[in-house]
Amino acid sequence: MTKFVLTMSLAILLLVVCTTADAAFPEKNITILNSSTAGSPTDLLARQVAHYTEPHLKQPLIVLNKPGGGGGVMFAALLAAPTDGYTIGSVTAAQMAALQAQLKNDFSFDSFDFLCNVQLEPYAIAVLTDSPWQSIGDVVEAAKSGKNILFGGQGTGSSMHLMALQLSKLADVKFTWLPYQGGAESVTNLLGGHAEIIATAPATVMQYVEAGQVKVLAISGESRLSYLPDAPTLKELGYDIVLTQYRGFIAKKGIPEEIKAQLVDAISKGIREPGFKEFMAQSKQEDGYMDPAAFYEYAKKDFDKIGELMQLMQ
Amino acid sequence: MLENLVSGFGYAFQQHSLAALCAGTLIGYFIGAMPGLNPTLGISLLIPFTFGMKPIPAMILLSSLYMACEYGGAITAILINTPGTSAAAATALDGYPLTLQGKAGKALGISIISSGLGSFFSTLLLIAFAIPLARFALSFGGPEYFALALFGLSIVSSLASDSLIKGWSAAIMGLLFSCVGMDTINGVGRYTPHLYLLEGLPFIAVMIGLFAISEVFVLLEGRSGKGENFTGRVDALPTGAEMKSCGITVVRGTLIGFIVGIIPAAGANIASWVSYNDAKRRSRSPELFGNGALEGIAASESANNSAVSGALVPLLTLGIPGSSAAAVLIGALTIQGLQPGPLLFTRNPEIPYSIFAAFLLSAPLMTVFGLTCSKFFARVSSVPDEILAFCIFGVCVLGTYAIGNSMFHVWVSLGFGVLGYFMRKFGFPTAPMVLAIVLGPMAETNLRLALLMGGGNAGIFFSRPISLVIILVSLASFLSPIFKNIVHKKLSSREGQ
Repeated sequence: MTKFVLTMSLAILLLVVCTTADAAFPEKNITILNSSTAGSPTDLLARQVAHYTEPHLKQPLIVLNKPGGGGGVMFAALLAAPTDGYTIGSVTAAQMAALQAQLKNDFSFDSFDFLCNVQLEPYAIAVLTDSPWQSIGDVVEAAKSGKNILFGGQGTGSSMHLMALQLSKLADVKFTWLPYQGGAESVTNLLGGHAEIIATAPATVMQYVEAGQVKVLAISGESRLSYLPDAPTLKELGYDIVLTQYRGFIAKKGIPEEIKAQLVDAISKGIREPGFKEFMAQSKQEDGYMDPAAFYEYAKKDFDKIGELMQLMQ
Repeated sequence: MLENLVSGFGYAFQQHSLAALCAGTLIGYFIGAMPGLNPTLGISLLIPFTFGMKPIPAMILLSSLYMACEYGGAITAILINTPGTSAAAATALDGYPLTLQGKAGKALGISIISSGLGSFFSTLLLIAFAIPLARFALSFGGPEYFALALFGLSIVSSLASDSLIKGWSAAIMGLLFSCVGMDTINGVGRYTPHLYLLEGLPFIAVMIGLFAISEVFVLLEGRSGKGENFTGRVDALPTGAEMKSCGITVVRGTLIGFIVGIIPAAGANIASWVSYNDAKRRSRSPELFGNGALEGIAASESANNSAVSGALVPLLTLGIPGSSAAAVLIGALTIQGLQPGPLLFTRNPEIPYSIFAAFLLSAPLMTVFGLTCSKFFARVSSVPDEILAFCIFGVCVLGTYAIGNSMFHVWVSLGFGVLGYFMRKFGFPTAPMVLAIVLGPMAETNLRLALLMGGGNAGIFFSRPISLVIILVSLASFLSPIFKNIVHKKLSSREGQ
């Protein structure tokens, strides 16, 4: 009897081993590491992508928050995981930019493989509707006449700060930069009159634009936004400034090509689902899909440009 | 407005909404009681479940969870000196001494009743004043936040009335700890040998270390301080007279919590400390504070629940989060296709009003549930010290791991546990250090922002009315315990002669 049970269990074990060995990728949960805290816009995006990609991979995608270290904790966790495609990371331009600043000595841009991009968004320069300045020209003129302009936005050395620095260099004026903790804080300070002009993500101020409280003077993209047709690009205004925030996915360098292709295929199918498109429209985001090659090229160019602009901070 | 509120109740009484309300309240209660799990995390954990729900039940679920977390945080603060949410830190100061005196039931009862009253009356304030007070939330810029942080720090004087020098030493050490991390103005790291430290010492882990882990060591040493009057009847609830004595404190706590809650980035944390300080200063027996004053619990708990309603003022009227949990609520609203902000009350009045109705319904629900359970919870205090110590330790390690899914937070809390143990051994209070670590970054960043705004001129603090008033109040709050001490010493030395 004991022998019979033993043989049977061995047989079952063998069966299980065989089926798992034969099964194609993915055979277990895929973890998406996210450096932002639960509930933040980047986290919500990752969770939405996970939700809509799941049916195409037939395995659950689990978003795991690894906040801290200015994004470094997530990068470290990603690099510590094996390159089997079961651990990927969500990434933004701002996080990669940290590798040009405080994380410069910890990580290298080339340690990562770029999977695909999902969102692409320019930055906006905004004032209150009843501000004395109704165009970038007005702002520059006021600064030239010696006015101390309080220019607020998220962080020091962030893309938004670099945009303001670049503008002040090209227009040959000076601003007082007020670094805030995040987008919401920047808007609060603008609405309260503690900052006179802010750099922000357009989606953060859209509802105030709709309510007639805030006016966007310019955006930093290549072309105008469909939902903000009246806001010119900085390029149109004669300032050669193009800076964008991308949000996509990366893996540790060395992920097998066929697994990478499978992941990219599943994500690209997921983000074409109507439910995901609705989410994008609700959060005022335009489709920014890029395949691995295009995404790498874009991210690399952006990364190098940020590195150059960092020199302006000296 | 009234018809909107009536229809809000109509929505809240629908079966899905009621189910969401009960689920949110119960889950929130336990998330709140679990150290390390805070309302922000609780809301974000539940967001995926709201994908398939209609907007109203979804928002009722999340907002009642938020409110209930602030009830739950007090349970572990009182029973095992481990604040379940960071806003319950001030509750532990008096709650735990009461548990040691065998009055856990009374402490829990007062905390639940004050929480219930705080959340009910602050909801009424929210309904009446949300729109008119929206502008007030915007009037806080760099100088005002600096003044507010200064006011918070001035509380140290009254927290440490036994020995001002020891209290302020602990606070100053806390301020030094808060320097660790990225300097947000210049964008450079300070004291950051490892990248985990770039965002500073994780506050919740530090707090759990100083309060709870240090308590584990004290318990293991076999001197828990359980008094001789520790009787078997730990589950006695507060008497009518005891509740009455806290009445006025609850009213003031509710008002303070609501006002501090409205100010974005201030929130329940600061509200409970400010209210605690206020209650102590006004109390007829301030010497009881820190040794088991029911009023202290009432002050802290009414304020931290009231701050939740306060935080909804800028959230619903302006789309500005008044706390990190409120920021996650904004995300949840966005997923439902709703924009919290200037247009919400006109476009979707059913959302704010059904949240108001849910808050009004959840207050009595929570109170009844809490009072029923507190009799059982109170028995925790009769568990032998050695067993309790290991349970607290386990819960703390689990909770701190959950903050960032990493061992780093666990090590930080253990380190601060050792520090806290030695501080207590040598008579240094740990509460001022916790307070300083909360307020340090706020004070520093806003001091520098304000000076940037003023072009380097400190006049900006005195030329803006709100900041001037708060600075004067903090000066009074800083100096009054010192004067009181001196006068008291003179009087007693005269009596001695």
